[in-house]
Amino acid sequence: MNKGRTSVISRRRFLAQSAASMAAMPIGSAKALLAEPITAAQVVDRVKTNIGIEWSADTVDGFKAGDPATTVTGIVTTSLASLDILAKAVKTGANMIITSEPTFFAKTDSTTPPVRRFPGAPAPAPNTPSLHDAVFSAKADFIREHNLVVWRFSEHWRRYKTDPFTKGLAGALGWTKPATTLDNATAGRFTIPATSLDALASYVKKTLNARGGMRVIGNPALPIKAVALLPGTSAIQASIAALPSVDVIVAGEVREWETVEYVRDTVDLGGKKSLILVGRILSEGPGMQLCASWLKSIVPEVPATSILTADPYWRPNA
Amino acid sequence: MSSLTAGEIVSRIKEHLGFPWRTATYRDTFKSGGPDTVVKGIATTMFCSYDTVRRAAEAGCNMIIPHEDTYWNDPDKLDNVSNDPFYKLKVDFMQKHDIVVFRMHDHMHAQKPDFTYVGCARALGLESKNETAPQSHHFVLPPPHWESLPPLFRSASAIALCESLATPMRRSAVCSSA
Repeated sequence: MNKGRTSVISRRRFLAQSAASMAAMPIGSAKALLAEPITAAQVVDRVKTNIGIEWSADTVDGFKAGDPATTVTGIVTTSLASLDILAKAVKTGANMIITSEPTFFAKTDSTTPPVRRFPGAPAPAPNTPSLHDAVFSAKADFIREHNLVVWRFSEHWRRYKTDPFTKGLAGALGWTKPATTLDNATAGRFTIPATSLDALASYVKKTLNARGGMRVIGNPALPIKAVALLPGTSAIQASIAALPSVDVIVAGEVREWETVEYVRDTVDLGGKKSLILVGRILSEGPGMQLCASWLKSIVPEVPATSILTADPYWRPNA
Repeated sequence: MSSLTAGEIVSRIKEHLGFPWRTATYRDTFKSGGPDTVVKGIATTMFCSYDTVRRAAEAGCNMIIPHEDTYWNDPDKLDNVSNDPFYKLKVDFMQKHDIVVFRMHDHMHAQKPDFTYVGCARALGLESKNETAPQSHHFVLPPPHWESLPPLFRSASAIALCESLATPMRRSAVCSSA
């Protein structure tokens, strides 16, 4: 089982690192350690009490791995709890990971792969044995070996006051002044200093540390003044609503046969419009940074930090 | 000039498909024009983008058979797009050029083997003889192209191979959204 899990940190190294990170901890955090112990379940209760919206029964948000009764040593928020992020969390001495997106590569967040579906396929027979996958298992093992708790916080965090994913992304890009108020129909639309699509794309790429995951549609010389942000994933309706009032949409992830084709047709029909896709995970990073700041205020007992999930893509040069 | 209609072409498609037409499909239907349109030429494509429609019209084709949707949503519903100025421009162009669109999605995937896999494999220079088992969709790359080359050259040679094989295909499918 341990074969091939090259990035898994041994328990001994974990303990050494925890000791080292505690020694290196700032006074504030050390003080936090002296506070009353708090469990992961209590952290979640704190979130539910303070979020300001009713918690829905039918939600993807919830515990995905680990024991909710675990005493929390530190919280790491991130857009996606990749194995790399889990290892980094362990290094900082945190054992509760709050993620916007699934841990186990599908909405089901099961430690075994979801049953494959394709057009016209019959539904799987009841009691079909679950599939085994070495990567799913390695991740589950890593979480268990390090006593981590993973909690997904996506649908409800998005609904906190002004959408923190939009607010976070705008803040990361330096667009703190909304075109109008950040609410309802005008949410996520900004007037920025005049630039070109080409220059804006480079700025966004540099600012968000994008690598190969960024894709752009439109004339590079297109003048840009008004921007709509659509972090995360968005359906065609959001693009159709936003595009008439802006020069460019900066989005996380859209469907290729929806928004991508809509913007392509708009441009080909003479519309002076454009689209910048940065990738879903990258677009949600700043929103989860805001989540860590918020957690600090409502869970002062333990340190809360955020770790950005890096752009996984690269591109061929030729 | 032939007086073959779009409806007659669709009948032939259904007749030669090799399996019964799935009447429940909402995807594989007319999206513009209808069965009575007289067809001058057929263009198949992945996306029925405006650019593709324009190139089809220029090539003398007025029947377009796309794999994906025309109005930027899978069921090609119009409630979200009908007030959009660029939807109106696209539809105006199609009406002016007597364009008929008939989508072929579900029935392309239902072919044995799935036509989208076959097309992609052939574009990459992979034949059935390279396939690990019939319809496995897993291929062993033929020597000497990729395996013997240092990694740096693999992508470049792959692209060159792809381009050399894709060019004649693009010619036959005049209006593919490249």
